[in-house]
Amino acid sequence: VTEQTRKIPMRRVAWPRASAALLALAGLCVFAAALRPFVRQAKSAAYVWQPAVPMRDKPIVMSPPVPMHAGDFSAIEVEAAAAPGRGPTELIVLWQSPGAYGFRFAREEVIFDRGMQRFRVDLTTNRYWRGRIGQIGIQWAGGDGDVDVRQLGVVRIERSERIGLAWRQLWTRVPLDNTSINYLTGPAILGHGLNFYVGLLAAAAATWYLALRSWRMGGMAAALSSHPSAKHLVAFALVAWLAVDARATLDLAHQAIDDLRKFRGARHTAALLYGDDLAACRDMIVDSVPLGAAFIVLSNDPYYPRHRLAYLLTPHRVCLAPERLAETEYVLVYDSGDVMYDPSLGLLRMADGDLIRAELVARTSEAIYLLRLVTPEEP
Amino acid sequence: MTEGRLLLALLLPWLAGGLVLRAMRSDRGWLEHVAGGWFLGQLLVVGWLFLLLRGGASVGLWSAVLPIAAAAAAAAWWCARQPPTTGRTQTSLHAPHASLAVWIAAAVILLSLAIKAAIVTAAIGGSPIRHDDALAIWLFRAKAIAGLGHLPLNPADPLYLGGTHADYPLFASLVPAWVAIVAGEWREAWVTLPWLGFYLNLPLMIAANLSRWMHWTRAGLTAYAVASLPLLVVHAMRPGYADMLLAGFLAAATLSALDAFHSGSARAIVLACVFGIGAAWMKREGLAAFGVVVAALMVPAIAAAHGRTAGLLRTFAVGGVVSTAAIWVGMDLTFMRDTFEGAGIHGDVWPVLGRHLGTWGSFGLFWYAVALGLVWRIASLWRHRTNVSPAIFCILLTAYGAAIFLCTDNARFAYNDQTPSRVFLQLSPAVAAAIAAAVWGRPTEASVSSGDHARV
Repeated sequence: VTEQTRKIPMRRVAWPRASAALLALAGLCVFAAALRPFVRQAKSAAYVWQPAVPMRDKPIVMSPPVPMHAGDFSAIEVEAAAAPGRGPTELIVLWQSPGAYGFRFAREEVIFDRGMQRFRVDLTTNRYWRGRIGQIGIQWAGGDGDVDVRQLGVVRIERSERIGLAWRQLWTRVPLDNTSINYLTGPAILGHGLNFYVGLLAAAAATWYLALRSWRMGGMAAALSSHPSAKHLVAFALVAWLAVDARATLDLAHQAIDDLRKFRGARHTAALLYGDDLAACRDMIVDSVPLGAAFIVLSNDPYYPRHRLAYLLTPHRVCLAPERLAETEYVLVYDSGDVMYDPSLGLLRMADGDLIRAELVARTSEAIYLLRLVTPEEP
Repeated sequence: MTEGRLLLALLLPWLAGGLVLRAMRSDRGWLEHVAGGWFLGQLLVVGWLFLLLRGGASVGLWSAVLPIAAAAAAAAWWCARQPPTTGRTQTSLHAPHASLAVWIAAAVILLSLAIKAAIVTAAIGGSPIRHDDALAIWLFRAKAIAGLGHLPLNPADPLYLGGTHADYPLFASLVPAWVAIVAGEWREAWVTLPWLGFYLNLPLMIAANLSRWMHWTRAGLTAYAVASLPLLVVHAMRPGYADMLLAGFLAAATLSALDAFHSGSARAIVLACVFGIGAAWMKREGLAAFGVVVAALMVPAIAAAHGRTAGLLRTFAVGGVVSTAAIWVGMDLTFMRDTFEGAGIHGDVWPVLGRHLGTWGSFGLFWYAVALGLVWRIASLWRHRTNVSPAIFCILLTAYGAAIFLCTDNARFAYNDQTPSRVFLQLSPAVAAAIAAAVWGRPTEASVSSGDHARV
């Protein structure tokens, strides 16, 4: 091929050589794009916002728009004060991408034990701290006192710490959670996903390879149509694919090992999986509700306890929707703020104020108990 | 004893499906029969259970097993009667010539797949079910049906049609219900084993089918691409959702429709219809996806089969009537009216779809590879005027997945990130098979006979 190329007159070779050079330049640009997160530096030291109003009564407070990239900042920092022992016990930081409907959040336990304090919520291993960020905010939870917030800001990642941080983020495990059946995020590395880096590096390598082939074969068309070129381009893609696959498989393997350890020899998997309260509810219903009978669940959480208990107990005991109260004899109250049972009067006060006669069948805790509704015919 | 019944629950449908497939396509290799047999067997099982249950009958071990065993015996008898096929197209997964680099790559890929299979097996065997829809819909209905031994058909019954989401197709729940009925008890590790079967047989089916039309390395790469989709592995190791089941049947329908292209075979049309019914039965999204298979692959295959068009048309017409009847009987189609009533443009969903397909890790680099494959295929059209139907199929199927969120009020499920990745997971194996056929496939018989030429 080289011999043939040499015989081609200079005028005909010039353009293919130029296109090869352009291709090499394009590869360089792609490579630079892949490396940019490692060397970039946010212009501003930090976006700091001072709330105009004191944050009393623990509202959700969002900042004005603070356009920034998650890859430039590692944490959200809050300066606040509260009465020692009465202040909130949990700080929730929130952020939202431009145009997104929902917020992402991270929680941090806090202790107010002196005057003005500074709390930092590290986001370097949070898988949702990626891409462009439009707004940040905070919310407090726990405690019964007010809290005054002086300022809210973000902590910049310095250039010197970027490579080390990226390495740590690459290998930080992303455990499977409730959302994992819907989607997998993968690790967030300096604000980008793994596809960003691996895809760009593979594209740069493929572009340089094509440039080299074009240079040697006298044109991109010749390079692309040659069988070895196509084969080698597939090889570049395969290496990239294997890298992404290996990273994802590593997380899945860790998860499987954790699950096996957690559930190995478990005598009561329901308790491990659903929590002791729900497992105790299941046992309580099995012991007290006759076969074939129906029950309803009244809870602050309209889904989780009802779905879990329905599955665990079907088909021998049927869990009905709360609207079908009239069709059932048994009511499980599971941590519900809307209803209240008075054992001395034998009355269950419903959310709408209705009073229903009921007797206590069993109780596992102050907030979780099983009632049997008393029919009007019963004394 | 119960372990023996578990083996019966898993192996009998597989055997029956494989034998029926062999009786229909005796000219194909054993790997196609094994992998495709899994899917056909599951379809036999859920179809039979559905007939029994909707007919108001109670289901027990014998009433469930005997007809499937009879189908297997009849197919075996039919196979035995057939003369040996001389021109059998064996699946060429034994590579005659490959470089050392290819063998090393194959070893790495096989190791990766073996690790994934081990992860899935360990997860299914050693940890309980936990995800919401699995507990609240698919496995809930399966547990109710298996526990009762019949399907409550009275709308006043709290367990009417399984007790929840009565408008969802029943069939995905019948897959675990079958295992529980035959094995005689409900054990989560047992009833979810079919998900392992789907996960293992899906790439095998893709590799076996594609290797008839392209070099084994390319067929193997496509199968690996599917098996290594991170979200697919999660659906296998956290079983109970219907998405992977739908993905398997849709891929099977696509491969059969591609087969109709290459062979002009009426039996391939029949199988494409059968697997398409399976896709629609598993989840409602499968219905329109099957429609895309029909429109983009089956109709052009029939149109291109010069000399056999009339015969294929007759098969296609019968298949169409049977498919329509099966879908009409098996599905509650009222959701279509709701879908059309909620039609509208939700342009702000684009960034969400981009996040699910490319930025996040659900699919790795899959959709980038699909886009590159399509660009490559379209760019090479001027040199190779081969059939473009597989490429058009990929575009239409992907567009369908996007349209679910862009053009209907299902956009709300995109805003909360609940379903976009799952919908595209349903489509991914079919897209992978078609894009491989589009980029690497040999010319169709039709295109050869009409004078087109192509890269082999």
